[in-house]
Amino acid sequence: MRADRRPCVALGAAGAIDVAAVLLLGAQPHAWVVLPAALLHVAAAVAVLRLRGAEPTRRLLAAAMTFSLPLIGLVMAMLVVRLRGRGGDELVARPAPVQRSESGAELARRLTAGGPVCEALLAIDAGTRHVALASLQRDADARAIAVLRWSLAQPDPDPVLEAALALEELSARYAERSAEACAEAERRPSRDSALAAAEVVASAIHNGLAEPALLPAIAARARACYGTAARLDEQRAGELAWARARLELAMGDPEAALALIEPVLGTSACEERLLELHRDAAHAARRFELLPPAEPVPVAGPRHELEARHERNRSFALNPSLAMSWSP
Amino acid sequence: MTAEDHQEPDGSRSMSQVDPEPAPRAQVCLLLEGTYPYVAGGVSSWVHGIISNLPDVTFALLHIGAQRGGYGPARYILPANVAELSELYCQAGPSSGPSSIATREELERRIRGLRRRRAQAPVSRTLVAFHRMHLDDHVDDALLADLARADLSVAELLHGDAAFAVIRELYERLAPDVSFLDFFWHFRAMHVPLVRLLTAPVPDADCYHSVSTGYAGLVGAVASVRTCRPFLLTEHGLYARERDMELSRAAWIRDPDRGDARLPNARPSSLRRFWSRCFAALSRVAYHQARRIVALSEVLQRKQLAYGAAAHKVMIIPNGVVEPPGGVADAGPEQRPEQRPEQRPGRARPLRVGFVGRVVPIKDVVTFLKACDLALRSVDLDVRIIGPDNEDPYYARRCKALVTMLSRDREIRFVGPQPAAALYAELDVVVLTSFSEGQPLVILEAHAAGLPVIATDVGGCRELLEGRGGEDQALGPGGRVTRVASAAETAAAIIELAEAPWLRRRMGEAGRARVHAYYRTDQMIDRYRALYRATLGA
Repeated sequence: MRADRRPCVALGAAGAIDVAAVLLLGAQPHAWVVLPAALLHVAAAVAVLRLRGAEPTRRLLAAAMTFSLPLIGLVMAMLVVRLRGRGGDELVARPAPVQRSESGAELARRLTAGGPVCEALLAIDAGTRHVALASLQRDADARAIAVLRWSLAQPDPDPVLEAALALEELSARYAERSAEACAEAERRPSRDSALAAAEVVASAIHNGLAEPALLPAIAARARACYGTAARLDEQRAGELAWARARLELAMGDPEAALALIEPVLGTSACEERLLELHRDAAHAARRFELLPPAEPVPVAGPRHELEARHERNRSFALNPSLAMSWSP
Repeated sequence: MTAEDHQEPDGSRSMSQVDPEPAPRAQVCLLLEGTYPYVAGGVSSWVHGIISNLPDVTFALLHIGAQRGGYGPARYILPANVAELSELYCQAGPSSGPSSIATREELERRIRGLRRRRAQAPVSRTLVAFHRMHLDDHVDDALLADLARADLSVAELLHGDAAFAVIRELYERLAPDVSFLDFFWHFRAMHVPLVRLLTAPVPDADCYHSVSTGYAGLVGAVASVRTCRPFLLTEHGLYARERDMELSRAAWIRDPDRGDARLPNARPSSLRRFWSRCFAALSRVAYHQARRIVALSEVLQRKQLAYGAAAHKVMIIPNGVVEPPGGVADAGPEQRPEQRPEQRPGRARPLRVGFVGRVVPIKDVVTFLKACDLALRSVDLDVRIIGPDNEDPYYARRCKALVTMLSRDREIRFVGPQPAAALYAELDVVVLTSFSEGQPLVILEAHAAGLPVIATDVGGCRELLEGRGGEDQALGPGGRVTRVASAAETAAAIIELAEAPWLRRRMGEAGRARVHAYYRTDQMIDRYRALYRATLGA
């Protein structure tokens, strides 16, 4: 590309006019000379203002400089006209938004602005329904899916259709994610990829997205992925106990869940949630003997007695067989 | 981009280009958005049927698409009475932006010149009309006249000061809670197609007939105003409502930051509402200019009225099918599938259940498969999915994987498209689990063949199965209506029909009688012929 010489020519002409003005002022020390010299200086500034091939803002800046500082201003005007930036993505990049903390009043207002989600799903206004649906689809947890299934049973056809489409989208998304995760686990076999695949596959069981007819097949696939993960890193197989037991409990087999939890009780890092799942499984299997005794109502008494009771409960939790021998 | 662009060597040609002689003025110009002749489906079949069965009417077709090259070859052979096929595209192909400083300066110079000229010229009436469409729900002749002026170019919309002023005002009034940049680009994306369509030439015809509102409806209404010729509108589904549902889930519209992600939004995004209002306005424009507004069913007509159609313009012309001559429908009861030797009691044969349609999400094939799996636990079925599965390969794969997961590969088969003549003779029951339908031809064809149908309660399905009242309802149900996405209800209906051959027979006869009485092709064609005559005569 050939450089545009028009600004240089114009600036040169303006410079010549400005030099003539200065020379005139120097050569004739009379007061009347000031006027023509000033006119020449203004003419130089006007010449810069009418530059061709430069953006209007640059022309204005260059003319202002020429007018403000005789001769020196012209050099600066030349720089203004000729210098080019490089686009500067960083100049137009948006800074990270400043997160403004909400006051308690604002938070309360927003929390109470929308009604219950079930009401919103049945609203006459389509916009309100769509917002509620979008929110449920974003959450896609057990509660959201339960609410969507509830709206399928409502009499008004519009909300029913919208909920059906939302569930279909969630199902399609699940099918895509699980296929991708399983393909990844096959492509790069490792404990982590197998575990990730198992978690994705089992998610439809935990959040209620899977149809009852599909549960056995999905569970079988999730079990296979968990099994692969355990095989690929036998040292850490115990860490999978919670996830595998949760799956079995969701599939309605608490005995299998207990069988998975009991060997690792007291050894696993995630003890709290394992104990919780153990309690649930014991309840579901009606194996009440595995449960720790109910916490008695605290009564005022010697501190050492309360502490001893707490310690005993903890022992039962860690070793359920102790509960068998316990007597009040 | 327009009908005049046929000389462009980009591979797409219109029929008018093939014929060197100028096409005579057609009697009816059909405005088709994303359908005939490039896309197969219910609307395209309807269009083909109308053109083929009215050989004494000459048609010009204007196909309005999103982008040139986005459609494959024509799926239909155009009948001889099609005088012209033109194409119009909302979006231009990808263009390379100004790459050098010199080009950019030239562009800037042109934009400055444009702004100077526009500053002296009066404000574009089309721009005023856009402004009104967004802020005022009322549509009148003045608005149509402003749109028909088409005095706004794409360049003026993109770079003009007046357009920017309109954007700023609409932003402040309609979406001050979203980023201005977002609003600016959405405004451009929304209006550039409108400007392109408004400024494009439309085939000359005695009357304009659009098969939907939206872009096609806008082009038809504006052509009608410019030429002072009548405009007809037929809707198979409610365009504005369908777009509304798409927009509510569109990922390309960014919702404003909610701050805390756990908190719900109380109102829909302003940008979604902006788009939604635009499509609703396009529908109102088409409704205002249309001389008659045709719906396929009562359900759709009620929705049209709710969306702003004038009551004195609306009318119902249902779909129609050709009754099979000497086929299953004409066969006596003793020759129907239930009475064939292999089906007599004692020689049990599985009930042949068919899903006839494209394997695409809107047809909800997944629910059909789940329903069949449930029903197969109680009765013996031979299930066939009959229809193309290449439109959405991912969904088709998902459906096939589901069949495998359910271990039903033996009982459920994907058999692809089948010739219509032989299709229904091989079935005992037809099931339709669509999320959305207008007035499905599949139900009419199945009924014409004497088959009962199980269909979801969408569009005009209930009318087709249970009748529209009075004598129609007295014919009895032609099948069972189920809830959308309810595999259990569909399965229960399949089981009911599998266990009661007499019920299948009775429903098949009722359906056949209903088609004969109300849904014959010749009736539909006669009504459209009368409509065209009345319109053209006037």
